[in-house]
Amino acid sequence: MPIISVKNLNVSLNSHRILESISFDINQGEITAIIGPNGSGKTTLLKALLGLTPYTGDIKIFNSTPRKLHEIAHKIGYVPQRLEFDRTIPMTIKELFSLHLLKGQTEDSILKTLDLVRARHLIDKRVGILSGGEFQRIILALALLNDPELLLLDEPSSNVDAEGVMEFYSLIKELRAKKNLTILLVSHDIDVVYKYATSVLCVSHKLLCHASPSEALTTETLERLYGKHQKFFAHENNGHV
Amino acid sequence: MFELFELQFMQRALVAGVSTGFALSIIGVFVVLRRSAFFGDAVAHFAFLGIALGFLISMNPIATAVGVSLLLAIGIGYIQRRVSIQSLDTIIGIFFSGAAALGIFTIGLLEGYRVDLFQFLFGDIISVSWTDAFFAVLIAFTVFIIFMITWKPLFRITFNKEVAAVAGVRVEYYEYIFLAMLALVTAVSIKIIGIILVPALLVIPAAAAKNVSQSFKQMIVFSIIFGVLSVLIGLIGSFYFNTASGATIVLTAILFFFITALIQVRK
Repeated sequence: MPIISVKNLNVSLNSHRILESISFDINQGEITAIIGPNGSGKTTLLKALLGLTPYTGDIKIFNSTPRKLHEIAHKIGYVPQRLEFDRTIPMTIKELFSLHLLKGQTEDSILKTLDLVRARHLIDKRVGILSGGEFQRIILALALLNDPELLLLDEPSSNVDAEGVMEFYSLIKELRAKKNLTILLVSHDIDVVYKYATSVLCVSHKLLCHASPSEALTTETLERLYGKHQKFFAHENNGHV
Repeated sequence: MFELFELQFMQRALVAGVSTGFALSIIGVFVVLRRSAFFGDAVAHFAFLGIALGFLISMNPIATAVGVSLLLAIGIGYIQRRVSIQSLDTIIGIFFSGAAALGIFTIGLLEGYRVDLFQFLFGDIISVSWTDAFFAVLIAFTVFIIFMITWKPLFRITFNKEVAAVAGVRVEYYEYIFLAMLALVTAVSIKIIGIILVPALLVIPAAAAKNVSQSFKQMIVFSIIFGVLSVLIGLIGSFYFNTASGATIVLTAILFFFITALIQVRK
């Protein structure tokens, strides 16, 4: 049985259709990348899956629905595109993680999770003073704290430099292998998608493809997604549209 | 100095003032961290309208103040979600002015000069009764209990609503609890310390605490300390300097804010 099953999903905002007739399944252990141009509805798709935006159609996650998210929340980790918060808030990393501990979890769980992202040394730092890369690792660790089965990442490396991006995705791949996580991520970086994803969803308001990276990332599909004058160059260390 | 504490009116004022200062300082931490000082001020004016309506329809003014505050506070959120072209600040401004205008309009409909109404509106901590003081203690105790039960989800929502919702926190449910606490404390506090003092004690002690806190727990503790000390020092000071008690309390709280701001700048 798929972990995520979407049938005929539609999302509109102020009578503007953002997503139209989207259907797909995602199975356990897959790393699925959602690609598409800016404003194509990628983030909206993730938000609909999480019940953060109204939708019509049928969404099943762990055989439940986004409207009953609180029942399955412990199985899901989420890293938003831009986590907006008051940077002057007086809160240490330890305090932030303590707020999210489940019953039976201790401070040891916090340290173990911080070790996963190599951030134990940040535990007593204030949240507001972290660098972009440090904060990204902390938010990933927070998403992993309750040992989720499904991880949803919305452009998780947007605040990180090129070297940091590769490090971040190596970490994601490592975690998937360790914990058999299912991962759904939005990415603009075609090279990352090519290297790390096991399947690709091409979204431009409608679903234009759902296939493996080698099948999906063709010149034809990329032209349909991003326009005629875009080409994909696969370099040894870098790749982009 | 201790003969001051033997005076009955001072005992009542201290019990009522410290209790309201305590409750407002706790709620104030969330008001400050959510950057909702303007909203806190607006709720005080909703309570003002509620009190005036209570007098007009001969109902208990505290009950009508709580009801109207809660209704309008929830109404702001509802309208903002539906009229998305306007910012939250603008909607609050409209409700704020509307409530103040309607309150004054309602007072105009009352017959004769109502001394008891003006006591409600502007408060007089020196003239509170033991019943008022008892109410204040009860509210402080209730707020403390609710805070102990709900602080974790409330703080998670304060940090980031989306992340809290995805983690299973029922955001709307806790938002209503917060609004209910804010409306209740504001309405009861207005009767005791007046409409000017309530927003001040809601914001200043928490803002002063934020200046010197490294963690949320520290902020709560410092906010309570600054809130309670402002009331104590302000009351005692007003007795010796023969000044208005409400104004002296606010000025003491502001003094705490400037001292802590100086400490923060020097760090």
